[in-house]
Amino acid sequence: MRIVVLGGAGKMGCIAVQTLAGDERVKEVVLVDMNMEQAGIVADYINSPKIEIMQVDVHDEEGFLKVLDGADACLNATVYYTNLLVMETCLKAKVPYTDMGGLFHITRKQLEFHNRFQDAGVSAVLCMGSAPGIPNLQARYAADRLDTIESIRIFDGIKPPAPDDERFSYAVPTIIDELTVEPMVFEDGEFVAKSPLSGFEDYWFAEPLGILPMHLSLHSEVATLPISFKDKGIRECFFKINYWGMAKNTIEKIKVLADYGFASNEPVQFGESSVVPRDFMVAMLSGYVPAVTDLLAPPKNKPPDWTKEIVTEIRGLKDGEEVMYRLGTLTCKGALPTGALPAIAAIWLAEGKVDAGVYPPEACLDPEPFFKELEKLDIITRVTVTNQV
Amino acid sequence: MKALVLGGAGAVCSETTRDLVQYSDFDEIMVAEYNLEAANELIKELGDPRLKAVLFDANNYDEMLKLFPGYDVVINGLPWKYDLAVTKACVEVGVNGLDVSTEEEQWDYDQTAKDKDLIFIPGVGATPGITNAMAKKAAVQMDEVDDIQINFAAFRCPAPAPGLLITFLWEFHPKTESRTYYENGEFHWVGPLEGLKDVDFGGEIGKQEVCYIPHPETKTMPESLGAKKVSVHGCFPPQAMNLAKTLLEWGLYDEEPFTYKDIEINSLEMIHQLLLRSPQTKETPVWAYGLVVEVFGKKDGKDLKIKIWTKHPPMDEWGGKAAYYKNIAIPLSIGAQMIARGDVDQRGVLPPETAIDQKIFFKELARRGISIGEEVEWL
Repeated sequence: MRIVVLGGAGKMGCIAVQTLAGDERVKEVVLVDMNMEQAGIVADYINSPKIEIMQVDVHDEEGFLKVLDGADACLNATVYYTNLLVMETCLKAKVPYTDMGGLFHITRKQLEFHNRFQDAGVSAVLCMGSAPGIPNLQARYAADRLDTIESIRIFDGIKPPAPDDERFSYAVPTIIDELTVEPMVFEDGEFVAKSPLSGFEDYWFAEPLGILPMHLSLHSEVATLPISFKDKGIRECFFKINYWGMAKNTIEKIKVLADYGFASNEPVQFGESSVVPRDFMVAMLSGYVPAVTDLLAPPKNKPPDWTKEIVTEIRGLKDGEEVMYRLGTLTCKGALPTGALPAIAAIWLAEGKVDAGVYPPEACLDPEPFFKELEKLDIITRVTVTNQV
Repeated sequence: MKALVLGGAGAVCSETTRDLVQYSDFDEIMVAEYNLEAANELIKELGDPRLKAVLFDANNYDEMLKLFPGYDVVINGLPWKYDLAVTKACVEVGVNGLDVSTEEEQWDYDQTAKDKDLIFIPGVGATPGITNAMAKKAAVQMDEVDDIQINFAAFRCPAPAPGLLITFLWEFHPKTESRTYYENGEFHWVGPLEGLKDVDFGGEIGKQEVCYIPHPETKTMPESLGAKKVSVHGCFPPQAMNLAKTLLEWGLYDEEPFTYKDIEINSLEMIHQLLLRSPQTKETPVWAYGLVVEVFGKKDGKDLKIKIWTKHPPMDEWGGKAAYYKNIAIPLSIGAQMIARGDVDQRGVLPPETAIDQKIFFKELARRGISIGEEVEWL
């Protein structure tokens, strides 16, 4: 089995490479990146004979097709802006595709590829980061056991870093988007845009996480779950997170820059050149991310000293009775699921476990065996069912 | 009598031009502007036959030498980088003048100005300007002046005009050398956002956290008012303060050159250019100016504190953004009129607290709606 990981030297892509290299089903992992220096650091750290490094720009279709030649699946770990372009090339190469999410709006556009992928006999699973990904499977687990669904509420709880920790928890452009673009929620059966950093509520996570302040964020689960479970009558769906796993002070500083126009996509002219303020902000802040070697290092904690719990609460009816499922997926290494989920999805795609077409996770993956795969990586899922006495 | 208003159609100084039209006895008010279209529009709007406009490029020193002669006073409302050139030109051609800021080198022309029987007053705006008169008002009531604490709240957006953005960035620049306070005969340098304390400015501004700001009052008052300690604390609206804090904490004041998108630039310059062009840096919810001066000293052997503050009409009564600009522009106009009328009998290049009779000054401010409050507390 040969899996191509685009952006394999990136902050999340490197974990996907590490997961794949450690899986006996995988024979070859092609680490594709533009940054060869960082690719070398990642490969040296993982130190697996399965890893092959290649440099290619996904905009160079010819070069990219060569990379895809002979691949059993392509895992796109680059920033989500490339999703549509990469899917086009994978379709042309007839290589199954997976990614880490499309931040709602791009995901919607990706789903429009369904018929073309189906006609070509190619499979694609979207939204396989930590979240989205886990909440979709948690929701599917409950949906399989409920007659109707009233609401799906997702809470992504992350152990807050030290107040003076200025680092970004994952891709700088994605976090800036999540902070500045209006989150979408499904409310009374309609998709509605809300203000960024709104809808605050405290939510109680597994110890030692405890109570964390949660707010709305734009996320892909909200784009697909209400559609996937439309027949069950779903009325409400939202995604909440606690400052994207970053220090509140850091988020407030990014917001200050955004409020003063640094998140603008309108180019500003400098003589004969032009600069997009947002691109400049991303470039200036790109140094504030953890080193890949930190991300690849084993977790500092051991279960049950959890650092992250992704919870989905699904309320609905079973045989006329109100039932609430609470699924909580726990890990001691916050970044691990983001790399592990697409890695497992890529393996399943390569094994032919997904039908041809483009699907969100809840529509094509069986949650129980998937949770079992995660369990091997110390990513534990617990379920609580609340019934009326 | 003739007045020449440099930058007289600009964001701040157009309010000076308005004040001159409404209150002054000048026979001619010449608006010297790089943006002649803006000057002509302002003149058309104000409709006063005394107003005239002339194209003026402040970067051309020779142009100053040709333009300035014949005026009774040159009113400099240009960005502070032109302060020195304007002072030098005024002294060279023999014309009185004033401005709203202060460059240390301006004092170098003091003796020449005295020799030529001229007066030039740097810093006749809100702060420096009104604050100097406030400190003087308190100091003259004391036998000894121990401590002058000047506090301001400049409630405006970061970039209402190019010069004001430069001021905003410079005041928090980690390398700004003049951010000092004076104590025991020495100037002590302090970093940006240091010396934090809360000050209640009242009105729409209310209580705000202020920090040390580089300002000329610190330099002039130890000598002019005999103060043992002088400090200036200030703030901008909370969101602008957060911007300054963010730029500092993320190292965006860095001036190390680099190439970005084929542009040779440094971080600070890029930040400056982007802020200048951003629409979001042109707006803020409240436009106002708060000034609170506290002076500690002794009278008849007893310790006392005199607190003086300003009050002005709220923005909805005072023309929105103009509620901020007028606090700078009106003192400039008053100062020019006092010079022209002969209310200033001192000669040289002198600070406002030395040159300006604060009683006349406050009376004129009150006529325009800027009132002064005073509280004396025996300690």
